[in-house]
Amino acid sequence: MAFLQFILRRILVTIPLLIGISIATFLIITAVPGDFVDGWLGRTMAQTGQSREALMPQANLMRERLGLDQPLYVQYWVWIRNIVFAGDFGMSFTQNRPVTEVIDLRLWRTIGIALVTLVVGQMIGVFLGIYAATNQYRWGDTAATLVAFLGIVIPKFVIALILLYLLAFVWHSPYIGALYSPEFQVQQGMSFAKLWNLFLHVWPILLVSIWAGQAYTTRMMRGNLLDVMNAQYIETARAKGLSRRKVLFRHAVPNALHPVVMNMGSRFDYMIKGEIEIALVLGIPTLGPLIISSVTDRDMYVIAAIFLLVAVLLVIGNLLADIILALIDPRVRRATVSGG
Amino acid sequence: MKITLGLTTALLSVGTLAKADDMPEERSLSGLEYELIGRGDIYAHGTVDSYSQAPMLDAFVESGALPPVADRLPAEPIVFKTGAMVDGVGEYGGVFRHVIGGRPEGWNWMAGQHQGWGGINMAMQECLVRQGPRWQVKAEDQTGPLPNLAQSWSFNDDNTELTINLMQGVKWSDGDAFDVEDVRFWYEDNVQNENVASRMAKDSFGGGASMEVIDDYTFKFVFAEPQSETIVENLAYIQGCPGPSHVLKDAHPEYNSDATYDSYTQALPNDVLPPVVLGAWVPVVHRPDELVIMRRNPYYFKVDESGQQLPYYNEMHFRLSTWGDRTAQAVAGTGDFSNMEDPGNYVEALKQSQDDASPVRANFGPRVLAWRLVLNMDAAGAEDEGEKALRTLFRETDFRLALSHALDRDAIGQALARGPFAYPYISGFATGSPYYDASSSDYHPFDQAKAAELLDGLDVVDTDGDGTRNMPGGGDNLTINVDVSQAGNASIKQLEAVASQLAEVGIAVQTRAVDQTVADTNFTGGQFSAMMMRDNVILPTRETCRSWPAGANCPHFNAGGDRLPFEADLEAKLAALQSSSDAAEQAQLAREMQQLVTANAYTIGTVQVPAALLVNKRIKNAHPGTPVFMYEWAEDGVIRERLWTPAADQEQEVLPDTIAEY
Repeated sequence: MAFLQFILRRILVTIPLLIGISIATFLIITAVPGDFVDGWLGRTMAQTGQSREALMPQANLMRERLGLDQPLYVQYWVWIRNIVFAGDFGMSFTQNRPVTEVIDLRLWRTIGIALVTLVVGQMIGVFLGIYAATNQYRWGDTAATLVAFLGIVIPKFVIALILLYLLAFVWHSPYIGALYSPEFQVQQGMSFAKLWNLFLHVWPILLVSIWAGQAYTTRMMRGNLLDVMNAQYIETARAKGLSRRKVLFRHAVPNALHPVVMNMGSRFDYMIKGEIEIALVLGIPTLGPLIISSVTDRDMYVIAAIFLLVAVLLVIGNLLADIILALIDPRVRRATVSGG
Repeated sequence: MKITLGLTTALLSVGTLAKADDMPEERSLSGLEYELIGRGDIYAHGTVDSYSQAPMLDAFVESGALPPVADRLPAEPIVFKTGAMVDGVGEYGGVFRHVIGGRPEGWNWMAGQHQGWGGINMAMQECLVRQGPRWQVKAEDQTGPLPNLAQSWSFNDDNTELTINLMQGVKWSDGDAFDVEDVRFWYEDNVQNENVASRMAKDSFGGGASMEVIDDYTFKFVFAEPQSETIVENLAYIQGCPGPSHVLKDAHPEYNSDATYDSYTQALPNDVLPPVVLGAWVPVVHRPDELVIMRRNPYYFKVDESGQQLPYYNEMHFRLSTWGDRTAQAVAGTGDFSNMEDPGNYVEALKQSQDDASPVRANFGPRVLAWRLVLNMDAAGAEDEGEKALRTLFRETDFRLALSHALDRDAIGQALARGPFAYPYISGFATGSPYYDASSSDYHPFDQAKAAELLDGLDVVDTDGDGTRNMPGGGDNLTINVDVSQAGNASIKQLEAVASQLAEVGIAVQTRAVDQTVADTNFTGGQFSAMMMRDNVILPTRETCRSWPAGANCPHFNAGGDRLPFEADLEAKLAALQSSSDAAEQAQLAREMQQLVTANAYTIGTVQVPAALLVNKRIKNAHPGTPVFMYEWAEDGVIRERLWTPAADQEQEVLPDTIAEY
């Protein structure tokens, strides 16, 4: 019961947080000079050679239609009211579709890629860490350390840029800048061929995300495991005649895993941000490129909705990490319950 | 050097101006030699002996779904001349693949909606006249836009009436006839209707202009004031492109009491396909955020000289990605076309182009991308005394000349792109402009001693010995705040070089990177001190307020209307050019304008480079030298309806044997 209360309290705490984020987002977006109509004006002036003055009547008409002529607090109130009472996040000015539709597919792709990289990245990190720790100072340890080290020190966008250069300029890959080839984009439903086509497009972003994602975990796991292996109870277990393998996987690894799991919440945050960064370079249609284009075009309801949703995702990620930790670690569970 | 009356006036107004230097020799780029041709050599309205169609349409004609090709074409279709096609008459079939960063807003372009840019708008819309292919027309034939839906036009004797004859027998993609009612609906119910956010300003033909319908295919504009041929350019993309009145009238409040202007704007939503178009291709699939597929329009009104109905490609793709991805996909070979405008990529693009294994070639066009440091000279509009003093200094021709002499343009050019790409830009027309004339341009060579001398002469000296010159009379340090768009890599790179070179003559530069919308808003609103920007000054009639004193609040960098001594002369010449219908006279006036702006360093030019058109090697008829932008963007300039690919190299169509069904 107390455990449920703990979760409920965590959820309730997020409500003022989200309200704060929504206000801050709105203020930040509107603090930047120029709105969507200014962008329209700039493009139309460039396209037609007409003057700003000549186009102002049309611009004013657009502002009125989009509600941009209203005071800021009215715009905010209408927006937040529609979200709370109707689940309506507004319209995307550039795509002329509801924001929820614009974000929908991209959000799930971002979450999907982030989850895959989180799970695979952590697994690889854990196993590489175990391998490195159990082969301390041998060449395998050095190799794992090097891979991890490069994953930590090279910014993700740099790895993505190098990969993009190879894909586009050297290999002339037919699988860049989308999730499917055109023939599969028009195909409804999923098939093995479509899934394979998806993999051919998506592996670069997974590779970069996983590489960058596993690095920290590898280093952490290696260090933790080496510490645990030197603990007295491990020596006792070995002295009792347990095999090295049993001691490692039954006693040492579970204990060395705790900090890794505790870190999972922040890793999810890292994966989301990383995915956005890499997708931007590789032109993969997830949230990353949408954030940039929305900011550039002043597509304000899209930006605001993305910020809100990412905030929610990160809160959920942290909450899940807490729950998982409580489940696998009796000390945390007991502390949570006894502490109310 | 040709000294004109205009220059004499300028020299008198400048006073201390020394003898002008000549522009250095311009190095040409390989592959850039091509012949300019007559305006009638590209295409003309006419007939050929017999007409044929893409084989995929045969089955539709046999089944009765389509009339025979000769019945679908107008009496006098537009005939593209083989002599102007670098690879000749084409083969039918295949796919042309675009990658764009935009998203279709909707299909109602009459109400101002865009379809995602990057060539998709142009693939759907046909306009009364055409600008894009004009880049290939020789100077003496530059007598206005090329005909299109408007087959011919003429002015009355006092230039107060423009009578336009439309093509007869053109059909919309659903088979409905295109006639004067479509044009009337466009002009009267959209452009002139203040409730519709049309792309064309209501007063584009001067105040008080009206339209009169004469018959089904003839109408005239009646102007309050005499107009010139230049005004016909307003009838080109993106302004003079009628929409289907037989579809839209029912949604327009003038004709339907249940409709509102909001519902009218949204009358053709982007998820309802296919829209009715006049263009060569019709959108038939729109997967939001992923892909638009267009199929050939069987009613398209253009043919080649062998009578084959255009376009050659059956299918056109627009992958909805990012603008940055467009170049990456063109290089990788998954996109067929990209404008490359970042000189940082040129060397690599050139290498790719020469590599046999690479799917793409880079067609470098004329030098039309030009960068400049723009100084705000509107002293009266300054917000504080410090800014006012600075802008007052910017109004001194010697100050601007000092800045121009302080710049080592060769070094700036090499920093931008190694090799022969960059050429000094002083001000005025870019060298790729048909209006550029080297002998009318005053060059200000790199000479920092001269720059220092000019600054000393203005009492802009370093009075406190800190290495930075002070404002006249021993004022504050001379620091110029320069805005630059974050999106402009080349602008940022050049500004770094400009800042360090100006520091060498004792002028401090503070840079501020802002996003493109902010840069545009600040520039057009006069809210800046100085700005580093790319501005392609190619035609004297486009985006005039960005570069010329084209009206009371122009240019944006001297919006207060307090003219510099030479500006009144410049304004008069621009007005004369715009009201002239004589190509030779226009060219002469442009030369005089060039002389004025370069002699007075109206803006501080840095360098100019060509843009490159990345085109997949399997694409035929993409003319070398097609500029990324001149009279219109390359998607129009390259004339996509006559591009083709040999059958053996064609991409597989995603929707073979289909056309738009209504």
